[in-house]
Amino acid sequence: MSGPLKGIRVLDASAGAVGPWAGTLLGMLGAHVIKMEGPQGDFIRNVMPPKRGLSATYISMNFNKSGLVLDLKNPQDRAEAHKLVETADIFIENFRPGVADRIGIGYGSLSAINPRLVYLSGSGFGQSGPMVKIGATDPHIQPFTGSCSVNGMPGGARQRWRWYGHFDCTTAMCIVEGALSALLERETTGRGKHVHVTMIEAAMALQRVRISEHLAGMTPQPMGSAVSYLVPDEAFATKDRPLAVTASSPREWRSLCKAIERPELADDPRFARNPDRLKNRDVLIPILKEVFSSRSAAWWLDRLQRAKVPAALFTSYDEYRHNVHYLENRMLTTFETPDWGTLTVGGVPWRFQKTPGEVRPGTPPGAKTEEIKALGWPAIGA
Amino acid sequence: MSVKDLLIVEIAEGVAGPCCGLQFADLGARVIKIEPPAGDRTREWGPPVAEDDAAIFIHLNRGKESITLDLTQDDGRARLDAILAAADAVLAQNDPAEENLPDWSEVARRHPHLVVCEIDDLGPVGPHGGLPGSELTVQAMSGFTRYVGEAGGPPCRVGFEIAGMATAMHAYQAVAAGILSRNRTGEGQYVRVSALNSLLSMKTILLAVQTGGMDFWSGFHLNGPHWPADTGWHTKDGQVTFDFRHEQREEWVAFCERIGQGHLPNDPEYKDWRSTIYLGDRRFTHGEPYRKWFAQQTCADASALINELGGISVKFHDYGEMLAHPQVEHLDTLIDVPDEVEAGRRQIGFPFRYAGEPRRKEYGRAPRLGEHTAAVLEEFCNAKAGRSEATGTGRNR
Repeated sequence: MSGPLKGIRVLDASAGAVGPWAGTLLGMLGAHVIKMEGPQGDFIRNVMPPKRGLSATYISMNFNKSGLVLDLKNPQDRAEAHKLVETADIFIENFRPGVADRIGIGYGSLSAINPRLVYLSGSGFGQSGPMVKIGATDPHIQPFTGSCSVNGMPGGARQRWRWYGHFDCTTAMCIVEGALSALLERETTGRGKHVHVTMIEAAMALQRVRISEHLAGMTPQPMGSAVSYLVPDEAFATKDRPLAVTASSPREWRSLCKAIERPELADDPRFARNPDRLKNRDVLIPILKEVFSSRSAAWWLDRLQRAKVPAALFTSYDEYRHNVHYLENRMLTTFETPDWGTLTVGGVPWRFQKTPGEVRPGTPPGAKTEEIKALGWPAIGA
Repeated sequence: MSVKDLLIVEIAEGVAGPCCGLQFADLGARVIKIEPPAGDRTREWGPPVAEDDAAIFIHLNRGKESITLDLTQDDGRARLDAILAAADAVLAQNDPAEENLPDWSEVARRHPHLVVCEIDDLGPVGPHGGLPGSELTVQAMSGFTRYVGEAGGPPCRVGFEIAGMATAMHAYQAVAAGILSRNRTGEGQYVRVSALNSLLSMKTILLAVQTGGMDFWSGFHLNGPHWPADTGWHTKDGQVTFDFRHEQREEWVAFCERIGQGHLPNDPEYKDWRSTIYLGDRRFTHGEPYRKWFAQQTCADASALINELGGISVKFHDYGEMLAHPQVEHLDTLIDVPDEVEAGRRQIGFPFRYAGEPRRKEYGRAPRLGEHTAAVLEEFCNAKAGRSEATGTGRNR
């Protein structure tokens, strides 16, 4: 354990993705993490497809953890959990509202055992309110929070992102922010806190740029690959495949004009500043479309990169998984695991020079139960 | 050490760095934003709302102080050093085309108490190392754009800033964890966060599946990039979601009866009933009986029946509908910026809250360009030298 959270103990009682990914991130930061499940197991174990008998989604959401199975309805097991809480720093749960209290691991009980505990509760719609009883999952939170109203082609139907899990994982990111902030507060007060994170508010944070436009009186709409606030910033057809091109600053706009050998565009008062280009989008974009249609995407990509203008091909995992750029930057990590064969995950997202942290596979569910019951935290090196 | 005790210096434009700084400012840290003489580029991202500043800028920079310094010049860098001597952390993102900007790992060596978080777009090494990216190009390079738009149609973007926000949140984590570590060991450090790596890290939930070697594999249980656009179920006045969970077959049977399709549960084609609703791959071939019913309903009526029976259904909202929803109003998510112009007074608040503590509801407005230059330089650059050397922690302000 070499991460910046070395010595921090995390008891992760959450299920699915929202809580578990938070536990994994804390583990990558160097914390010691126990994943605690009931005898029926985390429901995500049922999500297909499996890899050597265990859900691949379970595996990927539970790196850097040691597995413990306890039946909290059994007083002995509950006492085991409370014993771990005595010296834990962080507790994570995302039970339906009221359940944690009912099974004896609510904030009141656990903070009485350990007042320094930072207790994190993740939920979909919150702990109260008219929707509290409705189960929230990523595919519902996406449309509920307005995100589908900005996806897709102009004038088209509201479109759900055919990608599930990002709103879950964003909520997990907010849980980690809450955990770290509460640990900082604890340095002053000596006490932990109960931190609430809802998927709704995490989704709003994720969309804060577009919602700020809405609140200022604008109406964000789907614009295909383009966006309301920046021009040019979209896909252009080339001789072969589409190319994403952006000029996000005055420097990038001047460099773009020079790279496409149209320097006069940079001085044209209709296009000089981004607000001018927004007003004259309908004039400028056809000019650029004509320019980019004349050569291949690779030709333009090379030219724009030399000019330090953001440009990219639209790619897929199959295309980039062996790409030297991704590998040299260790943005993808592939390793052998004793239980599930070869696995690829995203690279560690923070590169600390002195305390680098690490990504390593978790144990199978409950695999450390006996050792943890016998030894407590030292069983996992904490 | 409370977040309120922190001094964070932000030298970053766009979304990622400023949004990271925003979160520290929201929690009460002092955030000094150092801008180049021309200002942060997002001041021009959209029509002017507050003087010359766009709505996006005034949201991402509320509660900060703004000073202008030319960090390509010796004089600007000397003043920066004086401020950093008293700071806890610096968030920095250089424009790769601009020469003579600070080398941030060198800054970290010179200020050992400091957490230096450098943000880049595409990573520091490799064929694209050090090149600039953007929200769209990073989405394209991480393969996320494949999951919106029509399969085989023109490229679409995910319509909100997934790259910017993932980077901002990772940067927040980097700085907060770095400060926790520093407070324990006495040593600050350099940490780097990349936008492309940030989105790929978020993709871990699927990467393990994409690696291969599954026990069985008949395509994604989730909507793959080869599927049509996912627009939910269409009613008379909008679109809704529709689900009963695996264990809720009886509830689905009750639903079928209520919509006049009571024969479906006996139809062998609907034995695997859940694949015909929600995210299932047979919605397209077997969804017609439901589609006919939804087309005759309003969103409110359709969702009410499904939720009454124990399922889940919500409307595909736009932002106005979402903010007006009773649950969102109940969560009390918006905050006030009383000294901002009218169009910027209502903004989104912070994504987590401490139970039992009053929620902060009022925040300071975003600074105009260079608004605090004179005061900040007076405070940090005209005071006696050696502030950080006195304690080595930067906490002596």
